[in-house]
Amino acid sequence: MRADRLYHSVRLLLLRRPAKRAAYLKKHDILGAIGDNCKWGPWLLPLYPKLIKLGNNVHVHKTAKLVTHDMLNSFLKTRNPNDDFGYREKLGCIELMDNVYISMNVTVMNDVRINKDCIISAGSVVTSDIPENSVASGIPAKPTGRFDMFLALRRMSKGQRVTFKNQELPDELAEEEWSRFAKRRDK
Amino acid sequence: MSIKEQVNSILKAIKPTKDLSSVEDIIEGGYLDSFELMALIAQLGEEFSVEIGVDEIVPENFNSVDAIAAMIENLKG
Repeated sequence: MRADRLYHSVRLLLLRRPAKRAAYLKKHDILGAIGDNCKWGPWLLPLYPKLIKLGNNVHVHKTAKLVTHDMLNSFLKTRNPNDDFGYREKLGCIELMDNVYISMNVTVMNDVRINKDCIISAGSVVTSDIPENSVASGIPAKPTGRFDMFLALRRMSKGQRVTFKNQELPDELAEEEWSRFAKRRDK
Repeated sequence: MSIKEQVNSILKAIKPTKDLSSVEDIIEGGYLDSFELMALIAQLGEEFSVEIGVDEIVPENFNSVDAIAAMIENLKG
């Protein structure tokens, strides 16, 4: 790992809050671009961060991965040592437009644009562009619903939401969640 | 098959762990989360060839099988 990448990764690790990590990326001009109100979770800086652009209000979960390249060139060179083809590393840009949420364990491959107002569901692998106003999921990720519809559904079921501070879950809320869990099941 | 039976069958596929046929507070009771509701809306639209718009997204339209069936009947005109 290059020294500057290691340095920035350690600095990101020491910043606990994703908003602070995004501010660090912005202050040190590490990405290709980064807008306002972003949250950046991963502490390990992706390779070739200048190939990543984030719009405004882009949230990236700490377990998400943005892959700007592949290492097949190294593998293929070893596989075919006498080949004079000259395998090159494949690079590609990743652009996350305004209001994009990248959930846990999502992988975004290179040469991908996720257009504005999109949620990428947990565990998805994004291999091609996602259209505006989408909730996308799966491998490869495809739109499975509309963002505006998801927003309306969230607003409709607002009574299900709870708030508490500093990730300290009060015992009574835990009990309430378990009772809801049981209520949702017949057995 | 009646609209209510079709709605029941879609709900069973989305939520196999709970019989929602006689539940009257599907939304307020938190029986379906946002992603399950999105799947419900997509399947209702496909099954009945109707477009459920953002304006229809109110608890009164989704709290029971009867309410969902009534909304579908209205949308079908």
